[in-house]
Amino acid sequence: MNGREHGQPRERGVAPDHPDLAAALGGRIAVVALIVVTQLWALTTALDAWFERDMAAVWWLLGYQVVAFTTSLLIWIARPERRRVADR
Amino acid sequence: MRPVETSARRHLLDRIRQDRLVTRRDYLRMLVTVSGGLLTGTAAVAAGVFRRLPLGAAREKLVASEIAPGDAVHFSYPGDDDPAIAVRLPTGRVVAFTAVCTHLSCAVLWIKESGHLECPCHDGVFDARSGNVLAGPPPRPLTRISIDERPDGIYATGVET
Repeated sequence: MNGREHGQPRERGVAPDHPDLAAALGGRIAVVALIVVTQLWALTTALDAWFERDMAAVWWLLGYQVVAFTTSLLIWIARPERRRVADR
Repeated sequence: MRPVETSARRHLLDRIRQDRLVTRRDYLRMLVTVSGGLLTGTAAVAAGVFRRLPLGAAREKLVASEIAPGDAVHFSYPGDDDPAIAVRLPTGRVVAFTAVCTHLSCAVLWIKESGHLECPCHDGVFDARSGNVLAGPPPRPLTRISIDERPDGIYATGVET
């Protein structure tokens, strides 16, 4: 859930109301979406490599998935808009 | 004419405006969740969730006492739940493959008229001599099964690459 009761309005104090902040959020979404697309490719390639018994490729692709997920997690956690709002 | 804005109406409109179902931050959270799911899926692949046939010699199994040239026999090998197909080619040689399409695991059939193994689900076509993909979406060749022709019949003896 969103940490709020049903029907209650969202917190508005951290909304990216500044154009720079809104653009930053849009940029983060775009980067993570790109990462997810490459992860989809990695999963299908790993599945193919598994059936071709190419385990070296499977482990490399699993390593890539770990790096990709960690990167997207860090991008999500970073939340620059909250930091900038706090600086105001 | 503009409707009269009552307090209740204003409150409702305010709720609708503020209680958007999905915000851009939600999109970001969902994308990160999908990213974690894809990592989990790849880990499952590496851990061997998807079954593949073990290579090498397996228990011998009688496929058929005889197969006429141009005919095929369906059997199970190496396990009872592993569909396979043996074909005697017009040249007289007997070949056998797993009868599971490498695309989406539909059954592979011998089409005598074309001389190919075909998957009817998405029109995948395999070479009956080698199991290689000739057409369609299958990404890999069929797994080959070793065959030994003996006086008392045709035996499957193992799984090849």
